[in-house]
Amino acid sequence: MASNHQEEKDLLEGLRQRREDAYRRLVDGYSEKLYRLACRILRQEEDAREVLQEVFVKVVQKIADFQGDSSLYTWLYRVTVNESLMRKRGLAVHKKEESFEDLMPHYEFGYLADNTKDWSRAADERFQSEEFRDLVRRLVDELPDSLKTPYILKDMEELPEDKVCEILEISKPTMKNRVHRARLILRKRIEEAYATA
Amino acid sequence: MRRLNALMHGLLLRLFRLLTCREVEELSYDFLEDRLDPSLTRRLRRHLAACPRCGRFMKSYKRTKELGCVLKDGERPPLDPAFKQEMLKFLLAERLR
Repeated sequence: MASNHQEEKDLLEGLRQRREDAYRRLVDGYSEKLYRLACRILRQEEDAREVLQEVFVKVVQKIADFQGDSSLYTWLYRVTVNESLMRKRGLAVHKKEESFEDLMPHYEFGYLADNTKDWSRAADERFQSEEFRDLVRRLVDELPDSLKTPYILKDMEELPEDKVCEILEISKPTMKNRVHRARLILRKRIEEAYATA
Repeated sequence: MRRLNALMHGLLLRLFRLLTCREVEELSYDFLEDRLDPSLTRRLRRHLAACPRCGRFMKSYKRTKELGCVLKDGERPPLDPAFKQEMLKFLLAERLR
């Protein structure tokens, strides 16, 4: 991936001039990463491949309008996230918005009222199984998009906080709050899964 | 009875100037990022040592954070090179339109 500033500038220039070598570098340098990101949001390889194609078409069509306010890398991530979410919404059967308040910790006089369980050690052993990984992936997929996307970018893609904010065009407190809420829901859901296992 | 226990626990936390459980939860993100100032970190650790529920909460919250990068392993096979080639051909054709 073209992380170097000068390399990225050259790539941008090449794309603006519609040079074949620049198109080749774009596809070689970014397709794998963007495909994985789309897969994480959509969980369907075929849909992710179609999104990837749409992302590249959009990028080459709009490259002349790209002002360079953010890096090319950030822009590509942002387009991929938006295209994936749009596709997901298009595919989704309309379902009632689920309330996640029950999965948040409950307090009485500032004291944690839930009898929390520590499943972290058991998870270490179970994590070897593909079944458990699939369960957690499904739980991630069930998160609302507003929480799932920041969680994927921060905890799965391991992007720096500033990049996550730039890609999603949200403030840092909002990003932190969303990632935190996603973790709280996942933590509780895994706890429930252990309780019923 | 549960409310009374909670009230007593809350009062004890205040008496010993410990953070409340809610405050611990609110700080947990920055705590794992190692971004709290040393005195707040000490107060949070003291709470965790004194409150089993929060101790269990923090261990599993930390594990939840770590799950993200572990999930990546063995996730999906890479893109088929033939698909990449087809996509490149398609983009090059689009370029000429």
